Amino acid sequence: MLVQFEIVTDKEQEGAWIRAVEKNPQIIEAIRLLEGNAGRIAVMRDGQKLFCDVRTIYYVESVDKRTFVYTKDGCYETKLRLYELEEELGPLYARCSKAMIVNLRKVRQLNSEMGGRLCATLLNGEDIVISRSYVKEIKRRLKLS
Amino acid sequence: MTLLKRLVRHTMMIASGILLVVGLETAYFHFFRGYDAVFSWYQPGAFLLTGFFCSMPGLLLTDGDGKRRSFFRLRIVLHWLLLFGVVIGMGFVFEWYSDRFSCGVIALAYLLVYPLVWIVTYWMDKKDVREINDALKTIQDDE
Repeated sequence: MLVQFEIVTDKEQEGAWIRAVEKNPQIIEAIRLLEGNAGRIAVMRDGQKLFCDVRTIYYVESVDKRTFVYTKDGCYETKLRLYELEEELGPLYARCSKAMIVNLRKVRQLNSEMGGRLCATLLNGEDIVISRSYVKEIKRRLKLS
Repeated sequence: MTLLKRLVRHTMMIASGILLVVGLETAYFHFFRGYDAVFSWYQPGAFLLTGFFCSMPGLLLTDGDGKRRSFFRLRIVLHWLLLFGVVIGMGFVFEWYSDRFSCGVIALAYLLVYPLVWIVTYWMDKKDVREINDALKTIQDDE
């Protein structure tokens, strides 16, 4: 594949364009690397220190000043605060309420319900509530505004 | 959407709803009772002020908060009651009631306007949801 590199003067101008016939796993991996969230975070379960691949995270929730990371396999605790994770995880991990960050890649679909509530159904079938005040930011992260 | 934008949007929607109901009521009196309604100078402002006060509880009570869905119904009931208090209270302040019947008419109007506002909000949200769902499909993980 032809790779081109161009120097720009402004941080705002930085970007990467990938032209491919299909979005195969290699391309998806490259996108993740470029988005800067191909890493792992330190977590704990049953007193054991582990590393959690950020790609497996469904959502992160803060409960009583403790932060919990939810994946398909289960729940882990992390010492990191929600605001720290927001910076660490990358643009597709968006705040969806005061106490929660959701991995947008794990959202199957959003539903608008009567009564002004927005719900997100995750790929594991779980439903979470999206706070209306964060919808604009989610749209921005999905490049819709 | 910023807090101020939501406040303005809800104020305008509620004031429009009130105006619609008042319009229907005055049309009824004009065509079926044979007399025209006369408003005091401050009534259009009163509709807007009522819309503003009605939008306030909405900001406090209608936001979802994480996964906790159990309080949602309670929040809606609280919201409904608070709004009802605002509407009836504003009616007394701005002298919308001449007797018990007219107070009943306002209460009935409230019952009509409340779901109308939610229906409009739901319809407006649908557009956002459709756009977001289309964008989500392009980044979704395969599982």
